[in-house]
Amino acid sequence: MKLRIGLLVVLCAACGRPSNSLLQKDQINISSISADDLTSEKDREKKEWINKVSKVLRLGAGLSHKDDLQKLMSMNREDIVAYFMNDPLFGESVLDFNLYFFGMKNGGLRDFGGNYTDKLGRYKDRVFDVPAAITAAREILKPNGNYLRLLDYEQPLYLTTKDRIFESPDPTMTKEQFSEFAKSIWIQRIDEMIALAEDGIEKNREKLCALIYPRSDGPITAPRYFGMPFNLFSLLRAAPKGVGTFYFPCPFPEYPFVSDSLEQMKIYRERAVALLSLIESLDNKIYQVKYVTDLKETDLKFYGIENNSVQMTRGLYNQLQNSSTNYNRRRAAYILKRYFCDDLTPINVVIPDEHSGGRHGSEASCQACHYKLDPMAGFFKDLGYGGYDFTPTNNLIRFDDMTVLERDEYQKEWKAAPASSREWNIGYIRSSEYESKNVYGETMGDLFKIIQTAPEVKRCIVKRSAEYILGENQVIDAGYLNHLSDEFEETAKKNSNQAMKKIWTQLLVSKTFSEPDRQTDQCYDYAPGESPAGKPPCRVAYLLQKNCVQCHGSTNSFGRLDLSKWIKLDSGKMSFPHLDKNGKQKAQKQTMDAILYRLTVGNSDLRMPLKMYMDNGDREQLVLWSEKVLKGTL
Amino acid sequence: MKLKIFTFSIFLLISASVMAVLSSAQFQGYVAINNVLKYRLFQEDNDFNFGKFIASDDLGRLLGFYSGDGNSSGFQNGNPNATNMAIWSLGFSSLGIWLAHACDPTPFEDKTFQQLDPLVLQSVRNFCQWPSAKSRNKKNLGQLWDLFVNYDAPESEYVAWEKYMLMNELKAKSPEGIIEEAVVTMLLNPHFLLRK
Repeated sequence: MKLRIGLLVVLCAACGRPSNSLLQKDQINISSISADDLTSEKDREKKEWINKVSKVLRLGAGLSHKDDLQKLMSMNREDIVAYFMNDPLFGESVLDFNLYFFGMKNGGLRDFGGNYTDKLGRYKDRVFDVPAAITAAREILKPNGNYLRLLDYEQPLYLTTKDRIFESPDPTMTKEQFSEFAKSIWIQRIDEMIALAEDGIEKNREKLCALIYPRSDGPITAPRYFGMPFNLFSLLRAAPKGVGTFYFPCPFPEYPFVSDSLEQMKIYRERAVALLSLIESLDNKIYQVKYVTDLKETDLKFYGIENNSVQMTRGLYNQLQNSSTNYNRRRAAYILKRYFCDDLTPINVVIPDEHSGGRHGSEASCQACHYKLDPMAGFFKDLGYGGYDFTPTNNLIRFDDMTVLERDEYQKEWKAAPASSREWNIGYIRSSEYESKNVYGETMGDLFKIIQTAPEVKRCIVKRSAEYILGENQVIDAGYLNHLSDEFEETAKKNSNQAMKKIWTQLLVSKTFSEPDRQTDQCYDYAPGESPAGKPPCRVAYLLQKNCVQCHGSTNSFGRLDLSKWIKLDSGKMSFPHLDKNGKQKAQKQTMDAILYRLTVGNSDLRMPLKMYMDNGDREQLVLWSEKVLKGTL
Repeated sequence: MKLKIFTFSIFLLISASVMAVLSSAQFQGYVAINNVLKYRLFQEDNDFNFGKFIASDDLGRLLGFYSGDGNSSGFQNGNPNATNMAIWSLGFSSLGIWLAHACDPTPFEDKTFQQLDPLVLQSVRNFCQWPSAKSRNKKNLGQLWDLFVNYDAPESEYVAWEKYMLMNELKAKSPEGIIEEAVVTMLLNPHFLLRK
């Protein structure tokens, strides 16, 4: 047992950096190992690399004795990556990545055990909340697939297994018993409703309300786990706008009453029967979901639902709740963060007053985010609680906090100024100064058209891929990332699957990924032809090159500031060459203070880059980095 | 049992003091380790779940896991600490004891156990005659390491582990005890547990 203690101490001490030296300290003499006992270092390194690649591309499954290592060792690195990309588990890895991209990765992909006994496990409910993640994972496995369906607004409806739909809340009932009971309740309830409606809708309004909005038996009548963004009774009460709408004015009075309700009820009964038949086909004795490609999808139009399976599902809206005072900002922040990689980090960039419009966020420090957040939130202006579209209602809109407001009044938040050529101030705002950089729209469809075409979104996919594969805290040279993004965009014009695989391959064969003992604060890869020697730290070198060096490329240029080099000062601190009028190098603090001020000042006559546009993300990176240099926390 | 409790008490005390020198390395996390074991040790389409060995999946959230609700997301509980190290250790210990059923005179009636890869089962059975030379040898140890750890750790780690397993002090272990010991000490290797 003493030995166990010793081993654990070594383990614990080695948590940070397990090394031979620690083992030697523990008196295990490694120097006595014969060289013949060790495989060649190069071969060993390649095998360890193959193991890491296998984990990334096969959902954590590292190498095992089941793999033909000899065959893999005879292949070059690109071919090895391609080999693993042909494994069906690659689809699971891409699904996992897609969930990561949408910020919805939560533990593993599947549930095992508990009430669920199938040995394959079952995709978690969360997976069904993000159908775009499933779609793109299926596409990547198709020979002519289109990975960028990840960004399509309309998505298929994917179906989970029957036993999840009918997961019994009652421990005394088996799954089968519960299934039969719940099904009979569904149909019985619709029949009751039809009978009451035939007897007179107005007369039986209260009873009908109780049936359509059941409170006491939610688990039976609300099989959310169908993987749907709605439950069965949503089929009855939340049909899309247009013909055949069946809105019942209870318990929410904002829904108008529709006179043809009885006819609609009969149609919905047929749909419910069809739906139950569909659920029967999801019995996991016959519906085996081993890979993402095995998931069944269905067309909601068959059930009278249009546009209901989209990127933004009910499950997602449940995560992005909107109160009457939040004005969809949480939803807007989600879009900016997830699709545009804009974390809305407040960097106190002051925006000119004329853009504040007197709304919430008129404080200068708030505007740093709100000038882009509020117009983005406008895309959701018709959507109330749970993401339900409230345009068919009597000019009312209900929020997740159950407050009801006049819709016209509420939507004034996004009305454009009278002098504007636009009706709405809704869009993706890149700059508050250069309106030509912005893209405007009105509907969710418009938003996703912007998402599909904006270069920032494709760059975001590349950035998240790098984080996913190399680690979130690994510093990556911005020039290298930009080079990968350019390649992705270019290749994706012809074939997005190829683009995605190409970028992942480059990341997996990169020096960063291959380095067995890499440092997270060090860059290992650069764009072709780039060398880091003498340049500013890799975190910002490319950003400075792109936005600043044109005017600040030597101490003979503007401000006697050279942002292309990074030198050690007499004080021992690192800084940019920056001379005063006597030709003397300025202290680091003076230089960095000046840079920070010029990056964040509100006066456009002073703000850098002077009279030129700089990407928000670039500015944010430079500001955050400068602050760290000043604080000495780099 | 008293010894084991004593060991852990000491471990927890020591680990608190060494935490200060830990670098920023984080666990790969519960899901990653679960997936590696699931793939390496079992036949295809198995229902192995490491949660079974640490009482529940929920406890796995203390071993490093991804959490995301759209707006905020990230890897949580990934830093090694006394609590999660204890959970890993207890989990691997339970796994080792469970695998030691390979030495039972009658087949172990457990659905998941029956899904073990035949080679893994055989390599565990190789230790059923410990400490006889038929069990206690480098070949058996090497095979076990290859099946469990594979290329997750450098070869020097294997060499250190092999030396440890062949120390005279461990001769006194029962076959079941040595299987547990082997599993715990292999899988608690930082190269296996931490992100690289």
